[in-house]
Amino acid sequence: MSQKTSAPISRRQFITGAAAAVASVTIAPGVFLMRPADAGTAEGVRWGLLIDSNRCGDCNACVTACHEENGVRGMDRPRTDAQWIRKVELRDPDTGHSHSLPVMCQHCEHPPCEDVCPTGASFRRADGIVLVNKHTCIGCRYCMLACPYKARSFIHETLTDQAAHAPRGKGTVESCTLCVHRIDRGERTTACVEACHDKGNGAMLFGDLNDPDSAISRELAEHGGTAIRADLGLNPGVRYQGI
Amino acid sequence: MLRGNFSGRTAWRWLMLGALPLLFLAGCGGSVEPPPMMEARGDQCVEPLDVIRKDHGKLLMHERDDAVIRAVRNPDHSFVGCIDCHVATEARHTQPETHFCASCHSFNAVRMDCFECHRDRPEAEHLHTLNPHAPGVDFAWAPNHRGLAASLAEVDLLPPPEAPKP
Repeated sequence: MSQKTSAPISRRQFITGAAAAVASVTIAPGVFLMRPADAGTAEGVRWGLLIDSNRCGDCNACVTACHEENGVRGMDRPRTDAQWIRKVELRDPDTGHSHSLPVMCQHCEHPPCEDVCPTGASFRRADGIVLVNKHTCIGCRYCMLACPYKARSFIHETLTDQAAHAPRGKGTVESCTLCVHRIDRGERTTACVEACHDKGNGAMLFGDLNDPDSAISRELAEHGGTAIRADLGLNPGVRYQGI
Repeated sequence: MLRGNFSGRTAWRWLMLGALPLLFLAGCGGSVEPPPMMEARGDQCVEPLDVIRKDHGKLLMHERDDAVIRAVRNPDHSFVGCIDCHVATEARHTQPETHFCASCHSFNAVRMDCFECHRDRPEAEHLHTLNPHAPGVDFAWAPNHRGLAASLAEVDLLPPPEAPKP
């Protein structure tokens, strides 16, 4: 059962929105006293991924592309290095058939990380993307324990040379952002999906799960898709085929 | 005798407690060297100078939740936009003398944590993409001959520089 959530508009948002609409005053060429804010998250959208593990090859292209895009670099310490996306090998012991698939933050509709966060830093955006607000994250790592997908990482060491669009720093938890900077720029793809497509595998699909005409929704309607640990009832936004 | 003794001691005490420190303070007279403010790219800040100098922290602080949680971004008050215009690509916040933000923060003994997470200098390929007022990446920068004093004079923060005599 999927529960449709609409973006609630707070009193403050309503008032500031109305003020912005009337008070866009130009005080100099190109400089505005107050300009109408960008639209924010798209209305009624839920972003998601569909991963076809039958098409997923042996490569690591999605992992490399993600970490390059977001400036995630290892310190050569595998036990503590951050990973936003990882390849998981599945092997059926009866048939010996093995295949691999990428696992990242599943962007749940009911994210356990959000439930346990003591400061509200772990949150779900109105368009379904689960993020960490690093301004309020205190690094307690409850979310890492609560996440059944082991999707989150903690940064143990001082970082330099971050990507401008992906601030990350010591003492905070982080995970896949579904390339939120791209989505907010209006792009409709993520680094991993792009890399998978460029590699020729085409195992990953990005799109709006709430739009019945989007490619991802049509593919799901036609061939179906499963969630990892569907029994938990978290309704993740990342779906898999062939597992 | 007693009285004279007492007054002598009092005078000495006054000298120690009041006059000597005053003398030291007098030696500190004159102006304090302000930190060097690097020149920015572009020709105009997103807000008037007196506003941005006083309230840049408030602007960034209050609008960050809108940006992170609701994806409502004001390109005029973008953190990356500030960095793109004001900070040189080779600057480091750990070396305040090279960094626009850090030089003033260290002068004023303000310690902000922005750069623990945020990139402290522009990314060449993203330079100015988020700032609608600034020129694009392939824009050829003309040297700015006017200087900071002339820019400040324009907004009445400094007396106008003397015109060169013909």
